[in-house]
Amino acid sequence: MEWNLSTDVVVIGAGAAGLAAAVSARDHGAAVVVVEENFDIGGHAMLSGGRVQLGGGNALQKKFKIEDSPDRVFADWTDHERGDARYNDRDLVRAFADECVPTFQFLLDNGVTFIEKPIVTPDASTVPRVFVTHEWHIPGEVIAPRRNRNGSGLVRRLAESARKKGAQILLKHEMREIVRDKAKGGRVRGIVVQAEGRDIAIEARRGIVIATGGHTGNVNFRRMFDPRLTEEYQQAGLPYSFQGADGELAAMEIGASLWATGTQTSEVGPAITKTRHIGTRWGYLSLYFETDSPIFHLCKATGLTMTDWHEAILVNQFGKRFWNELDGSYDFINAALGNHGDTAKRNGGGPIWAIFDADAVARQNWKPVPPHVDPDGYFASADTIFELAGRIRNPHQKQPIEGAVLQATVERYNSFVTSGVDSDFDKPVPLHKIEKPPFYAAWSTPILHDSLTGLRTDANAQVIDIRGEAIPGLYCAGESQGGFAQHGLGRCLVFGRIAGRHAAQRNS
Amino acid sequence: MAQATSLAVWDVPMPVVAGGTFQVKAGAKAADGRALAGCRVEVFDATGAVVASGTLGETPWAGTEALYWTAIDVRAPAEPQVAEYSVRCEQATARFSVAAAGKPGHTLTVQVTEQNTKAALEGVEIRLGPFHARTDKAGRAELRVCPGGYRLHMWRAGHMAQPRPIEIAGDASVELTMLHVPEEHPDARWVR
Repeated sequence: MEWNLSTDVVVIGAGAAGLAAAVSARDHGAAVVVVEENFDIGGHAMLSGGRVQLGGGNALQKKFKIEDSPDRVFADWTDHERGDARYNDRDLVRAFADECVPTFQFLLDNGVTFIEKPIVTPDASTVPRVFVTHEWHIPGEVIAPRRNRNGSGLVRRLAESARKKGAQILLKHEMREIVRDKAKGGRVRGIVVQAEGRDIAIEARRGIVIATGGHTGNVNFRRMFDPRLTEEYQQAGLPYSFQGADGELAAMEIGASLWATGTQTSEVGPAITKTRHIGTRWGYLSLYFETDSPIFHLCKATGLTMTDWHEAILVNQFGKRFWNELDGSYDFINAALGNHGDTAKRNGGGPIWAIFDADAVARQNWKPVPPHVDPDGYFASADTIFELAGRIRNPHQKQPIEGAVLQATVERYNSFVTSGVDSDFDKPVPLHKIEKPPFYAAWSTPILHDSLTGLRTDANAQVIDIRGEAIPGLYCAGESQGGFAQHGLGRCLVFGRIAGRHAAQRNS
Repeated sequence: MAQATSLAVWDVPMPVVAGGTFQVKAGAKAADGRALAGCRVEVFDATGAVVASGTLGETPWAGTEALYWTAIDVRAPAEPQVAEYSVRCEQATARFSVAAAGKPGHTLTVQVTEQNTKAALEGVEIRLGPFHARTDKAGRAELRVCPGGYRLHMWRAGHMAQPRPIEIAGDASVELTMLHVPEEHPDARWVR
């Protein structure tokens, strides 16, 4: 194969895992090229809350006299009594536990700064281990500024450090293929990327690190784990960070295996979430794009922030309620994803719409007009409920909602407010009738977030093939790595750092 | 064939006084945008008898495209009960319900504070049977209620309080607390 570029370590993806890998590989003497398909660095981490879970007795934990140890991290994240811990690969958790403290120091050494306040998390951790990075100081480079997107401070600092140390970051370079020797047990040689319409072959003399993010944006891929997740479910992080399973697919094409696939559907983390910002396509819980976001032209709307589900009812694609709107658990999610009678498309629950009235708008001080809502398929208004039904149009709304059905749904709900008893779904004491015109319908379909499964690796982050053998020279870290279903940045950073180091230390 | 006209009924009082009259607003919208001013609106009780009627006015309801409306006085049920009504205009029908109660003779004053900080809680929804109110900035609300036994429910986003029984035999005041439950950080995971 003729190579256009040659380096020691190629990192695919410039998010938290990829940048940690790049810096780590440079620290261990390797020449590094990072390829990133987006126009800027950061991936999902750019839009994250910057909550970094690296316990084990790190410097800030010590400052706050929080007693912790690698053994305690290991015990917590392999605890058989917890759904977020029992399925984890214990070899990976052991490596993670042992590398938390050095990884925290690695971040400090590379300029990352933290808010000095320990955060307690409702997960397997039994002591506070999370500290939050500072948001990047240039709003125009935060992507979703002023909304606690503190992950921007993590990835900007790591990118700054990587570049300073000599790593080359190639933006708008999309990985198309990982090249592996054909012989049994053959090593990987490099990758082919596409940039400005042409293919570029990049040789990786020592190793390749897959850090492409997760898979939840790839409909076909995500349905391997959960067939319900058809195309109507949007992916948190879009329209900035696409979780397309690129790394997983490229690795699987050369023999890689997935690992701990059941964790994706174990219902213990935010793999599928209830919307919080309604009337916009990407209404994830904590992610909110202000109008001065550099990608607002793609987002189209901020959404209306829903803080009290007494203000609306939720109806399915046929205009019928399906669950108690106050519930935010997986019971709600599972009801939303249920088959509501669609015989043409049996998988997926179809669009979910919040229906509310002018009184709710007044109580919540919402502004149900652009740029707060997206009338191009994700928001509608009308003078009557009957008329509103006919105005709900969206690519995933395969048939119009019948006006009489939606009107009957609302009238029935209003009767529950009169009686004080929701005899359909036990919503506790329904408070507000939906009666005052105008009326509104806002997109409220559950949205996908965490990838909790991915490629199988060993504790050195080396990718393992379907026969249980390491693929020489191939590594994986971040949300494309399987086996450790911990939400957030901690595992991405630890295994990114391990992967970069191990790849750099391989013989070319 | 698409329905040409559709209806909305709003500002339905809660509760209404049994044996009295109450007022609702009813509006109609023509799918083709035709002005419906002057159209007759009728209100029917559960037996199908016309209990009230009105004529749509000249000006659409504020904030709507073309919802012509009128206010209609309706006779309430003679006895305390939940009653259903339907409204018709042209071929369109809509339904609404009311809770009829006796004439409220007593005043219940509630004062709601946060359990730990003792801060007054504004915007708490209070409900006793069909009677309801919302606390003001001082955490205070007054409800005119009928004598009897109720379960008092409170609701405010991010706060918790168990329903409690309350007996109304005269004017009364009650001090209530709700516990603030800090919302889990949206970036945190939740565990079943």
